[in-house]
Amino acid sequence: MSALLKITGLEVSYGLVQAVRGVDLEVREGGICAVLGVNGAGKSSIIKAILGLVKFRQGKIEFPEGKEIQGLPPHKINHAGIAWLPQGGQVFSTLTVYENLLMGAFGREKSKEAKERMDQVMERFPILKDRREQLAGTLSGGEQQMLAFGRALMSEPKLLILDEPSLGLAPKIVQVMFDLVAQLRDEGLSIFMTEQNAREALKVADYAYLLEVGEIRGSGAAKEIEASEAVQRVYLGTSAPLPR
Amino acid sequence: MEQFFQQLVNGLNVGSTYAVVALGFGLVFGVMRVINLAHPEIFMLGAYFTFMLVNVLGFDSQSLSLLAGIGLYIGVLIVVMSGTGVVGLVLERLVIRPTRGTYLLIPFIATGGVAIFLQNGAQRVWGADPVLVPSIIPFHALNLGGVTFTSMQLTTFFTGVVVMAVLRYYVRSTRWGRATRAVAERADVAAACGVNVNQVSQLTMVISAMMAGAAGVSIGLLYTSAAPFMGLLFGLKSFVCMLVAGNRNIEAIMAVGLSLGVVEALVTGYLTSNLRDAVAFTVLLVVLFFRPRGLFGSYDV
Repeated sequence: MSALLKITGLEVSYGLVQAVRGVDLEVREGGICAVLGVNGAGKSSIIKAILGLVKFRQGKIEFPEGKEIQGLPPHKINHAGIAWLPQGGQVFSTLTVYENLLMGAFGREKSKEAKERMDQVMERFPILKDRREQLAGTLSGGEQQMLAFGRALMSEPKLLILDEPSLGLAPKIVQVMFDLVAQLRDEGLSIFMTEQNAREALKVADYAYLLEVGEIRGSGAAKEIEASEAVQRVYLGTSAPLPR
Repeated sequence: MEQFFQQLVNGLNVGSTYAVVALGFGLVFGVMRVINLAHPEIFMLGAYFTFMLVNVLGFDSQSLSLLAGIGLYIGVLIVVMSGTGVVGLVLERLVIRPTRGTYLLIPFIATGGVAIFLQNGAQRVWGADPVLVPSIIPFHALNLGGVTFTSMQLTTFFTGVVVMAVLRYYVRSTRWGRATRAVAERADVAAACGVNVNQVSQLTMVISAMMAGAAGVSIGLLYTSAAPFMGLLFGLKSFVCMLVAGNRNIEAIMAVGLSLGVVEALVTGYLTSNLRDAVAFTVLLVVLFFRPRGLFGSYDV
């Protein structure tokens, strides 16, 4: 199987602080790849590097299949077929629900594909149809997350990047959200996500990486990772942490 | 009562130009998080461009029919707005793009330098004394129940209203306007949605400079003069209007600009013109004291 997204030797620093230290990873086509790590492990930095939102000193990012995209401005990376669901959704609160969705297909709003896509999104999230003309800032947290999902899907991406999609959501909505992620994968979308909620993420993921202080400390099929001692200890809390 | 309405008319007239200049400040700050200190100087250039253009054309306004005068005015407006638009384009590319996204003070100081350059440049080119901007709209006065509207006043007011209406349409109902609002809220998310943020910034600067140019045409012709430092007080007032309204809401900026013009006119009419600026600034400061983030909120940082 070929890698849709391939990252080699990525290093991201903010001033003197190095957030990502030589990360290599791959997202395979049609699968869900999860990066698990605690706060500050460097998960968001990896995402920002892929999206072109942060400048980095070293590393190669190839998407799709061998085309190097590092150094491109963010809008070109979006045009290449990458959509982003930011942490907490980050809908445009002063725009209406409909306008938010249009932003997801910026530059092609008037195309037939975009109109079909809009209908599909409205069908998938009926709540957005009901709230079409409402300002996005007036939606509940769960609804905003659905809107952010819809916005990301509007560009008909090849790769969907989710930054901690479960963060701050009620447990019931977390379940709905992960079901949705699995459903999108089944429809053929490739997904790259970061999560702290390892238990739920590993249920849907196909492949997972463990990230600690900016380095990959382990990787494998989700089932293997779930069973591994390190994950059991650090993320799933099934035994007491080891004394230092 | 007649005097009150007369001052109201005079006030709305000048207020519409405050609003137009204040909107330019608000747009640029909203999109780029840059306080463009050169903005008032673009307004000043608008007045000087009008001066040059009208002198080159060399018409005597009294020999023109009203319709021809208005046609000429629209032509001047378009040429001057294009000219200041180019100034905005260059300013964005050379000064704002390299400095924005860093510390707020850096573009502030950089555009401040441009402002000083433009003021002194204007002084060098056109002299330190105010120049006479010949009027191009022939004088007519319309009397409605004791309240007089001059042809120039009506032209100024309509210019302001049309500029504001077009801006509102652009921001609310067009694709690029939507992108502008999205960038103003979250530039990174908008960029990842496929918006070229530099392009939006450039467009915003050009629009704001064209609006400042339109205000320059109006004020230059209304007061029949242009001066190198005319932007200072006018720009400060417009900037404070933006602060009072908050940068979130363009309708609020329009309303505060118009109100400031009215307050000034009423003070001039009922008290004395010496107190005009003092009262205006006091009102603005009192509002800011109670609503430090503006009436309608947020200088989002």
